[in-house]
Amino acid sequence: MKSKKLKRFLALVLAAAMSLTACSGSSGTQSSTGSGPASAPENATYRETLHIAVTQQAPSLDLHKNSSLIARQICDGTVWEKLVTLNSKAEAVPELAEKYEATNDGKTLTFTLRKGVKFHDGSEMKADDVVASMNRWIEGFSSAKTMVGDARFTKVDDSTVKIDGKTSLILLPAMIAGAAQPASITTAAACKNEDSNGFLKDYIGTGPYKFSEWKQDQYVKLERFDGYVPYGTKGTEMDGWSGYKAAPTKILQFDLVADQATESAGLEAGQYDVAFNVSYDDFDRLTNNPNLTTVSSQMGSIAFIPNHKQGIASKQYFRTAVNTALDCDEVLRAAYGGGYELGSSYMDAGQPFWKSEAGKENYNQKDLEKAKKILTDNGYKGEPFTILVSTLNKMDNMGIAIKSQLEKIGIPVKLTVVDWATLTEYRKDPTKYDMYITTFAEVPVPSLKLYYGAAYPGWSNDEKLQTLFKEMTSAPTLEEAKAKWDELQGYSWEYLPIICPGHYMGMFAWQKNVTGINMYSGGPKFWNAGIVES
Amino acid sequence: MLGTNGSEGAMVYTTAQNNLSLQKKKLAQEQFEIRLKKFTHNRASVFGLAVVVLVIVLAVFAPLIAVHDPLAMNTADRLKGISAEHWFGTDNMGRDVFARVLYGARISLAVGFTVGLVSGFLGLVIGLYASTNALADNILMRVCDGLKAIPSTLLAITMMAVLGADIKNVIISLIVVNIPNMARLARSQALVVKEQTYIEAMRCLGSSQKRILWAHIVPNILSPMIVQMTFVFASAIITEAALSFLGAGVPAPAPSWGNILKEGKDVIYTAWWMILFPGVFTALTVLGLNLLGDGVRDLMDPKSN
Amino acid sequence: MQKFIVKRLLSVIPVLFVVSVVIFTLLKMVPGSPAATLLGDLATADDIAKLEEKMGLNRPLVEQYFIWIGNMFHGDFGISTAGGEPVASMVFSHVKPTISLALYALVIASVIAIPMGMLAAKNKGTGVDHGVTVLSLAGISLPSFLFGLFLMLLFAVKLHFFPVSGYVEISRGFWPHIKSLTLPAIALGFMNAALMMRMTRSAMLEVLGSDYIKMAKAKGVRNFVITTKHALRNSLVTIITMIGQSAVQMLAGAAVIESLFSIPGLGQLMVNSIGRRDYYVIQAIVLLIALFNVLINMLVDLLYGVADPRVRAT
Repeated sequence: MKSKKLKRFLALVLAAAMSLTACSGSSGTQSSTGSGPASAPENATYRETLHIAVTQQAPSLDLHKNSSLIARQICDGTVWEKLVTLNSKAEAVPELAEKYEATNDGKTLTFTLRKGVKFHDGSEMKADDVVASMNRWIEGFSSAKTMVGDARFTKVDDSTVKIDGKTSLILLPAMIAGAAQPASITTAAACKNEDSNGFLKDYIGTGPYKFSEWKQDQYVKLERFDGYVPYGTKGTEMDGWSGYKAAPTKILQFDLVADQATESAGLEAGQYDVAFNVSYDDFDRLTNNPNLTTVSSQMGSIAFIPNHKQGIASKQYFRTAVNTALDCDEVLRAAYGGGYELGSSYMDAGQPFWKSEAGKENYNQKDLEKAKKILTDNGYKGEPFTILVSTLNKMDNMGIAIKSQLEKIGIPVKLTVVDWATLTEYRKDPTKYDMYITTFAEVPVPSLKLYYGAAYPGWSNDEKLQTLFKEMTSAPTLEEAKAKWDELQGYSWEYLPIICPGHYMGMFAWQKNVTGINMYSGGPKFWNAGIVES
Repeated sequence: MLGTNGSEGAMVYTTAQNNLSLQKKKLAQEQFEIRLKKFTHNRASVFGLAVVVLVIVLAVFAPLIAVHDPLAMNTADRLKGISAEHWFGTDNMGRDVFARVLYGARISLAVGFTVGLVSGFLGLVIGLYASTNALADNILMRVCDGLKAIPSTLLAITMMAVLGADIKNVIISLIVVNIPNMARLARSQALVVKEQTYIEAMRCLGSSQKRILWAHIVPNILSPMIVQMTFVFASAIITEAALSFLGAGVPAPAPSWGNILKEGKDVIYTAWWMILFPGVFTALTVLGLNLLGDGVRDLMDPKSN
Repeated sequence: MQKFIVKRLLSVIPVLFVVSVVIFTLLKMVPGSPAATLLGDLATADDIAKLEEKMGLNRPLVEQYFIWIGNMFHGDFGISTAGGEPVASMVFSHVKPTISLALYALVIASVIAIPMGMLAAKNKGTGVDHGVTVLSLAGISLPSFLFGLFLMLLFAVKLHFFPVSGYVEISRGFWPHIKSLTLPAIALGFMNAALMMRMTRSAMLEVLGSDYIKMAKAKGVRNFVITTKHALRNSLVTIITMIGQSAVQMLAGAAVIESLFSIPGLGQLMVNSIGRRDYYVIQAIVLLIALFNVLINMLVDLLYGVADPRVRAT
């Protein structure tokens, strides 16, 4: 491989990776907090168990097949590691791979594996394991499958694997490092050992913690893996998700506390060391508590998705009128209290490369008169407008706020409030709603924005929109892709495949005596976290 | 049981056929007056009645009493404490809690009342007909046993998931949950009354079954049913609150005490007023209904004389 | 007696049949698919359809019903969609906290309610009686979750007497276990205590008013002996029934309290399972509770015989 080409390729990867899920937040928590193990006295003893309160339970810990955030927060990087991971500059850097290279055309990627890495079952990581894991990941993750097509990983020798694509795969390393369904490496045997629904039975990884126990509705327990082969140099700070994992705490226990009020109270009472997803209404109180550290970070964006296939919202003027009338601040505050940030960019703050101002003049206009005029000019006859919304995370409160705003311009709104599982069913049926409300966790690249798919519920099957989207995804360079993305987002604020009212925050809190929490993206990580026993 | 027959007779025998029933009517009238006196002397029952009437009045005249629209939101004013403007503070969407509690009374009372009434009536019909026919009895009672054996919270939540979130569906779910008990009660009471000699006599005299059932058995089993209905009324208010708590009650934005409490629970550390006021209203109303139910039972039960 | 037991056991079958049909049909009518919740938001319709086929959800309903029933007879209750755990082991692990909680609540309720009910009956019409009546009415009128919240706020957050939430298994020590269950047990037991108080009072009144007690009094038997030996013994039938019914109700009705205090019991499993459309788990729990229900009722009937010799004859 010529070094010039490689440089260009690495630059591309870097740029792509910059777009990845870096955490940003109102409180500016880009860097890891706590001083890490480096500052802890040598040979300090750490408390045996760290209790981490979480409010949700994962449907499965099989990260290949499930996009559950909580499963990722618990297991990604602790139990399982990936070929590459993200550093603090959002670059894809080696973790289980020693290095990786791409051919000039970007169609073939070759990963050289680190030697001597041990799985939790004691076996050594070999190319067969990596091939089986990576291919299982591709099968289970629709976005990866779309990117690589029929291409799959193959073994070159015991410590080398490669993948041959029909098109350029330059975005694949970024996806491996930071996708919502992590490309976890497990053993070839574990990949084959599935339950009757096709999910992993054994959770075997290479990470500093091995899976110990999952008590449904109670806790997930991870235990330090003594055979862990660390990457990097002992005593150095973590860089994003990459670097030396010391695992000072023997047991990480993720306790399920479904009720947020209970969770905050438990944190204050010292029952938990860390709390995930604390409620915004408790956040101020926790922040003012001298024993606690609090952090909030942007986790994703909110979407109101109109039904473009049939009904009143399939008419452009109507969508425009709704968007013109909306007061996004009011709508978001109803559901999130203060745990949100306004912004017209479809991409989240964690992806500064892709952040776009295009179309912002159409965002958050709160112009009731103009909206009314649009309706009357187009002969709107008071057809009812049905909003489908779920009770998950109080999203129904957004529906209520929208209803009260739209009724001011004479649109009779009917709310259909259902639970989340019902919403996922109803949204497939165009006769059931005119607009539904959902949220999307942050994605590394705009090509992963599902709602641009013509078949995605909402059905934005608009010719110009689809053309722009294709032009963006097949752009030869990232700069050109970004230019197309600006154009696409600008047009999106006119056509309105979704109305994006803003971004929601995740709020975390922990005891001041907990050191070494790695706060980078998607929530805190605990591989260097612990409480020094005095 | 004969005594019960007497007291109820006053209301039902509209066409008195003979002297005996006229006499009975007089006697019953007297007895009723005695009991009414007793009822008014029972301070607890009167208190219960007063509370229930007060809450009903507040609910009916809610638009006149509450200055604010219970649905009007202003999120900039969210979770503000008690003030002259907002007597009960504001909720997490900046709505007036006082207005929501009053309008919520309408919904909670309507849910409770309808559930009590309809499940009582349907239970009565099912129980009555079960008592007349062995086959029907077997089938109906097995179905009732089955429904009763399913945890009521689960049954109601599942039905809400099937029917969709709507006040109407909350009512339907709670009715279904309450029918088996009502039917069981009606059936057992009807079986007892059926054994009475005068019913036997009427049968021998050739009265139609329909007439025996509705003109003679029903009046005699009505009083325990009415007492039970009061308790169902009260418990439906609680169950609705519990369903709301689990996310399957009256859907937003309509206020019910249950869903105000649920929203309040999430902010209990910052906004105690969202728990306290609807909580007190719920507790007092249910207390009032129970006291009233007790009073009515004493009123109708000859044993307590 | 044996004949009676056999007869009662046989009567369980039609009840369980009705229960299984009702819950199966209802669940099939609920919109939303377990496959979709299992795979998450990024899954394609194609992936979901494939998993549904694997789970057998595309077969005719009647066939699905009989497959489920048939498998149960072979001891196979299906696989939960949550974590792929077999339903039997999942239900088993969730039943323990609920039983602990229900027993504890029952003990609290009985210890408070029975003496107070007796006291009220003995002192009918006095201030004690009115006090008990008011207390029991307050108990019935206060929704348990509201009471639980107040308890939590006062005793856990402010006074730090108890943990706010969470469940400690008995294997990690008896006292921590009891401590973790105290607040929820009080919240859950209070309403049942209220009901029990009422019923104990009325049952005692009935017995105290009966001729043989009057006779005993006339004979000069001491008051204490009358209350404990005669009256209590004869009201036991009512009290046992009540405890039995409360037990069933607690097993089934603890859902709200369990989710408030994060106790991983049957109630919470039930509610969570509806959210994730975990059909097999819900069906298994419902059947289990129905069975409990019937068996406890049967046990109550048998205990009647022990407490009241008159019943034994039949």
